Amino acid sequence: MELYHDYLASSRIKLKEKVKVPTTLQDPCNVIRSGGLAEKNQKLAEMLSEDFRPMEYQGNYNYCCGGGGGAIPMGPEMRPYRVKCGKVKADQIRATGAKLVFVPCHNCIDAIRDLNKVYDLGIKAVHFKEVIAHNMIIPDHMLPKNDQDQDKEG
Amino acid sequence: MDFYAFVEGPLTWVAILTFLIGIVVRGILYYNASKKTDKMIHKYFSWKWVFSTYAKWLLPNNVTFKKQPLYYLTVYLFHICIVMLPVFAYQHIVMWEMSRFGWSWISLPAGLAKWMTLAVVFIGLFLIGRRAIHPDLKLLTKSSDYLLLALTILPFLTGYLAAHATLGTTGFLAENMQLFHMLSGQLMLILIPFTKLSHAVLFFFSRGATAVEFGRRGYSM
Amino acid sequence: MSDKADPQTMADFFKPRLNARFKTWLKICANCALCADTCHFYLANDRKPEMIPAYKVRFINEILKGKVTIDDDYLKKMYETVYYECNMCRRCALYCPFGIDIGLMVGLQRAMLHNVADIQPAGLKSAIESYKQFGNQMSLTQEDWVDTIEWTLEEMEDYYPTLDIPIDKENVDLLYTVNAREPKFYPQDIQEAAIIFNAVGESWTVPSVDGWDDTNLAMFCGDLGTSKMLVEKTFKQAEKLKAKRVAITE
Repeated sequence: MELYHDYLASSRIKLKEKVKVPTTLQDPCNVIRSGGLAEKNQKLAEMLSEDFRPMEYQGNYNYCCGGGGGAIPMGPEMRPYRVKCGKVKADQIRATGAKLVFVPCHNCIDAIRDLNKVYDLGIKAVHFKEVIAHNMIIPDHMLPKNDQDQDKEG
Repeated sequence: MDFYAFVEGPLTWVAILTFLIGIVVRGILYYNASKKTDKMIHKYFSWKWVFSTYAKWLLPNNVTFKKQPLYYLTVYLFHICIVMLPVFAYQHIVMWEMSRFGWSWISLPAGLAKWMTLAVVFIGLFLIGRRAIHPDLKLLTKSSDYLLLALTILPFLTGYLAAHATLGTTGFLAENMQLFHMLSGQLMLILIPFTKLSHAVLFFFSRGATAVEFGRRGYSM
Repeated sequence: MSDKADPQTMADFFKPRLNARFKTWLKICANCALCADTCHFYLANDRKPEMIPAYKVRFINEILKGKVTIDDDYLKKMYETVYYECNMCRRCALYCPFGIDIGLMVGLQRAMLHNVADIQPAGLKSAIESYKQFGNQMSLTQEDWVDTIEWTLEEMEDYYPTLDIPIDKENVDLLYTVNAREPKFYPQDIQEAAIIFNAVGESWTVPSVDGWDDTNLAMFCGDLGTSKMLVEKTFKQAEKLKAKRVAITE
């Protein structure tokens, strides 16, 4: 995530377009509170969005999604407790009115996608790289050379 | 030497020295233990995080104050009075002047000291009552919490009663109020290094350590 | 309950691991309950007092004082508290006037359950076994991993014919590691990372053996041995391949 932030901040990546729907952002505990990347996390979300809406307590003081501390890999055993305490996160997301939530963590994303189903939030939870890979300008050398391909096939 | 003179003299020195040496030793013990067991904190130690956390938490300038301002200020006042009164009550300074050291320093105005003393007593009673009623506190509270709170209030209550002769001048209680005041104050001084009250000094180490723990991640707390 | 799980062994486990901070915290916690509403478990469970963070570390003091009977019920209660009622998110530490870090002490209690009483969630236990056997949490073999990278590339060939995921390339700037859930469930994550790295012309590589899984679930139940082994694996790869930095997915 830090790396992607630096790519965008230094224009090594340029975007075709920003995300148009309202977005918000999760602060994974081990990346933000215990990782110290709060600012870059939010900056990256802002760079990718036209309408970024921070949630209450955005940053170091944010709530856990309920999937932390091994709760996701614990599987169905933990699910009822995880979903229950995730209500706090679900309410936070709903309050922003966002349709897309950036979630730079595999645990959080599974937890938040689950919360979306249970609490009917109507959101999409995505990793940063998914949005970047989709919205960035791909350098020409990476693209298929369509004309030549067609010639060969023809 | 009668009992009163013993309490006023030697016992006072014992209490003050136990308190002073006790908190210094607490600090040294913490420091030494943490050198061995909290190597990360020492590796990443920086006064920057430590001072900024003190500035936030020794003043009402932090997230918990913003979360519960009224409660925070109440307890804040409680602590300020507890620290200020023993040092700056003029009755205490008079004792220092009469002692072998002959020291003297500025004292609190009598009127202010009176209200501060009452504040300690009433806030203390409020905290005891709160522990008895609030479901969260009821679960956490142990009998030692009540006891320590009561012992904390006692020197201030007896101090007030002695200074203002509230109970009159006759009767066992009234006649011995000075004695009860000294004994309860000495008990508290002696208890500070050995009980939860040691947070008087350990607060600074604990806050400092946690501030470094999060500070090394790049933010002050 | 295993034979090892007698109260003395448990106390002996705690004692050397209680560093200066933990000891101080257990001593000075004022039971003030200011941490209560900083916890999402407390808020989401109708402000149930049992969900107060400070209440969740009571087992350490109880076991050290030796005043409780440690039977299956007690250990079950402890297990439920440290796993079902805490994500070790450390939010309460930021709100405690003393800076008491409950999350770390919940971690210590989990470690005791795992290392002394051999109690841990089935999901984490199987992950640890997989780490020990395969070096990743999803029981993927080296072939599985390399195959996944290859068919990932093949799948993308029509869209990005020059897309490349260098394996075991030396002298790179970046050693990229993934969450083992990616090759297993979310291969598009690897594709997207590859697209971005290719587009910016990053000098990068992924390790073919050992250390490509950057998750560390052993940490969550206090298995420090396995936890350390995993971190070392990744950094050994970085040294071997002379990579300047290690990046983890997301």
